Amino acid sequence: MNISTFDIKQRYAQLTKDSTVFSYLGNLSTADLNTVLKSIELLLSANYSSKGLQKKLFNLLIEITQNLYNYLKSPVLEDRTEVFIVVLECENTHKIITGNFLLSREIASIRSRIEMVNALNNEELKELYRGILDVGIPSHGGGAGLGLIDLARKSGRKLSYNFEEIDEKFSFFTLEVTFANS
Amino acid sequence: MDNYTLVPTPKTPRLYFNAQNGDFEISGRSIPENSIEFYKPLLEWLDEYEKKPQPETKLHVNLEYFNTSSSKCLVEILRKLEKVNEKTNVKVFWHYEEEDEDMMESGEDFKKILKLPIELVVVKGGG
Repeated sequence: MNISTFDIKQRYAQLTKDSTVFSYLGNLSTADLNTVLKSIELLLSANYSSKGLQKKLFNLLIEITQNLYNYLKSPVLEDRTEVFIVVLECENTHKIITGNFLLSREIASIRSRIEMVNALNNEELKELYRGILDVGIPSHGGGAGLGLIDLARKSGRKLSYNFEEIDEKFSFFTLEVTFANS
Repeated sequence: MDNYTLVPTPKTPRLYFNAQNGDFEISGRSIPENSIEFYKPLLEWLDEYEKKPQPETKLHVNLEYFNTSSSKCLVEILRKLEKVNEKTNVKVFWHYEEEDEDMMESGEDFKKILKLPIELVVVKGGG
């Protein structure tokens, strides 16, 4: 398969339409991350009267952007460090969509983690989350073990995802987190 | 021993740990990219405090936001207080805003995991 024509800008343009609440395309350095979080927060407090919805969105976005940020620190990505973060609102739901490059050989393990989370109901997610929290700080640092579970738990919906092969080494990963407004 | 205090930043909470009267507080936001690095000095301070705790220790957790990596550190902090609680009285107050169900659930998570008296305190009228 040869999809050398893959263009993150094109994909981003397709996603950002009328119902876009927030969108970002670029690298995610520490400064970028801070700017992104700050603009999201300003936007939420200016446009959302519901404190509950503001908090839900910001909570999910913190977790999602920090997951991306941690992942992008991996040197294996070479120069493929561009990402996008898009928030859409449609039919009483919000949708957060992120896109980033990854090594194709990582697909299997990410897919199986998402599928595992998607196979659980809310009560089971809660139990799993508590179980991992109970075990304590893992040696590798970051929040990877809890991140996806947290997203599924807080959104109350299944996580959607997609992998697209770019070349023999890299793929493009899209993750969609949807939740109801109330 | 000295108190352990830190002023809040947009990503890290106010930490107020008074060794003289056992009043502890974590408030604001806990969303640093590297939570372990941020909380390590506090965990070390708590190891010292545990050797000679006050008769009453009260921790107020009043967080607006926290990320999953912070939640692991919070467990570690509360584990230290479990040890203190074997010697003297410890009470934890987990504050959450009325409309913030996620924060309430997090309080319940900690309550379930730890052998500590954790009281959930609802803060009304956030808007």
